[in-house]
Amino acid sequence: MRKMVSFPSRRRRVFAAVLATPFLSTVMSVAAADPVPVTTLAYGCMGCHAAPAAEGSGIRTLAGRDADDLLAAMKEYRAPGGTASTSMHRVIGGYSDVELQALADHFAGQEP
Amino acid sequence: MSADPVRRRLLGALGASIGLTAAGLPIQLSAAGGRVVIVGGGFGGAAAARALRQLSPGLDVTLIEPSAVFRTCPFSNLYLGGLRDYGSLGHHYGYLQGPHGIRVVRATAVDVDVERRRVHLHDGGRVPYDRLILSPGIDMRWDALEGYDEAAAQRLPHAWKAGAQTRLLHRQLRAMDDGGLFVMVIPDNPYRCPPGPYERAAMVAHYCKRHKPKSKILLLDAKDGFSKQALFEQGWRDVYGDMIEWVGFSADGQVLRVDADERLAETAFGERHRAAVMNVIPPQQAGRIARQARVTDSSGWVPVKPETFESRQVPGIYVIGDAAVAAPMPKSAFCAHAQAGVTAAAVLASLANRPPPSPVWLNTCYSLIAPDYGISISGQYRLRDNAIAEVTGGISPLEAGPGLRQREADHARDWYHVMTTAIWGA
Repeated sequence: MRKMVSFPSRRRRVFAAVLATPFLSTVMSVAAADPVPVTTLAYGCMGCHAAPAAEGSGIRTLAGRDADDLLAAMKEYRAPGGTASTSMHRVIGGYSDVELQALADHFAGQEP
Repeated sequence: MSADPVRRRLLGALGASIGLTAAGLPIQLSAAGGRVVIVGGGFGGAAAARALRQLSPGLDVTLIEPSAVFRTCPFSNLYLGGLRDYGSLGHHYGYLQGPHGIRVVRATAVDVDVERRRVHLHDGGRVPYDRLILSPGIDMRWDALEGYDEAAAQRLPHAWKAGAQTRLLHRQLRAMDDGGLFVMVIPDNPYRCPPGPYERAAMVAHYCKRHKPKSKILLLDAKDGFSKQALFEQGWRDVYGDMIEWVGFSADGQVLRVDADERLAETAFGERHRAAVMNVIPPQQAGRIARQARVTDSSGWVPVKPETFESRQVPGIYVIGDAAVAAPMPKSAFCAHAQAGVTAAAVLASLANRPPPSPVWLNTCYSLIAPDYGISISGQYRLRDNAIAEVTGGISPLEAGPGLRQREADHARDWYHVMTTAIWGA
């Protein structure tokens, strides 16, 4: 197990911010554990979304897409009764808002 | 709601703190250096090599793999069903060696000197390492099923490692008479690819429906339930009628003895099934090099620390893929790829004397019932109380129209293309 003492000052700031923001309650469970690096989060997506997808593929490449579009699409998959999909709606429930934002920014910053 | 400025700032700050951790990683790790050796060039090992070089471009990475071409178990059932040709299952290591700077040593790793941290090769060569990743896949347990040894497998193929065995089963199926009985002997958990036998049944049925419609497929299973069972049984019935019959443990499905000369399977209660073609998937264990490195326990599999997949028994050796005990993650190609990414980051952190970053793993396994009929299981896994736990997941709905089944079949093909290209391709 990681120690809580690794980054004390940042952790306190994060906790304070989260506690002061009741509508972000979903962040709590993530903030309680060490954050997963965005590279690790993004690697999971590469199991299906690594470029280049095949011609006419139903699975879209993520690199270089607009961050707001990506975030909106991911939240839509996560919403109850959201976008119909084969697998996305089943795996995306485990990500916090913070992680989805980090993923959107990460992929938006990649060269397509 | 995304327009809320407070929320945006907060998300930005939190995102930045996560980003910093990630952004700081490769720089410090490159400085740490070290030699990472990987044994096994399948979904786990080849992906680990790629991930290590992506996270730390200057790192010294060696991949030891005896085959020039890797044949994937995923989609080998489609070859049996006549949907793909054999060549399409093959992937080579050219891109890993060239553009991606991985040293690929074409040799068999026969032993590990854990004191001197060296891998011994079949030709007497020695490969030193600072960190070792084993992704050895599975070996059959030739002592686990009476009558089933390596010689018997030449008559009753397992075809559970893609290659010559897959071709043999393909040939036998093509040579079978219409009306022949295809028997599959299926082991108890754990084994490679939990839904694999049941997809294979569907693919054999797909072939038989078109070419040998009087044939039957009998599944003799050592357990009472299996992955995506309701979906498989629905799909088998809808597409193939009563061509496929599954017999579970409680209905005397457990096979205790086979006779290769007679093509005979004998169950626990003494019932004897004579087959035209018999596919015996025997109990399995971690690949041999894991046993040589003494990372396996009495189960034959490799206990690992869940956050890194470092061996619980030998420090500095990490074991990923089917060989590792990673339950509730299944022994799937997708999981091997996911474990490769997390373990690559953990190995780099270890070389830099830093604690491993927090992990997350994903899985999605598609199975084909027919060319236009796919089903799937997915899950996301994280650490909970220092154990791997599924935090979200599920399977395809039982109630679904042909549109979704078609889309899942398409996604299965898309997934295979993307995954194999990402690992072995450009």
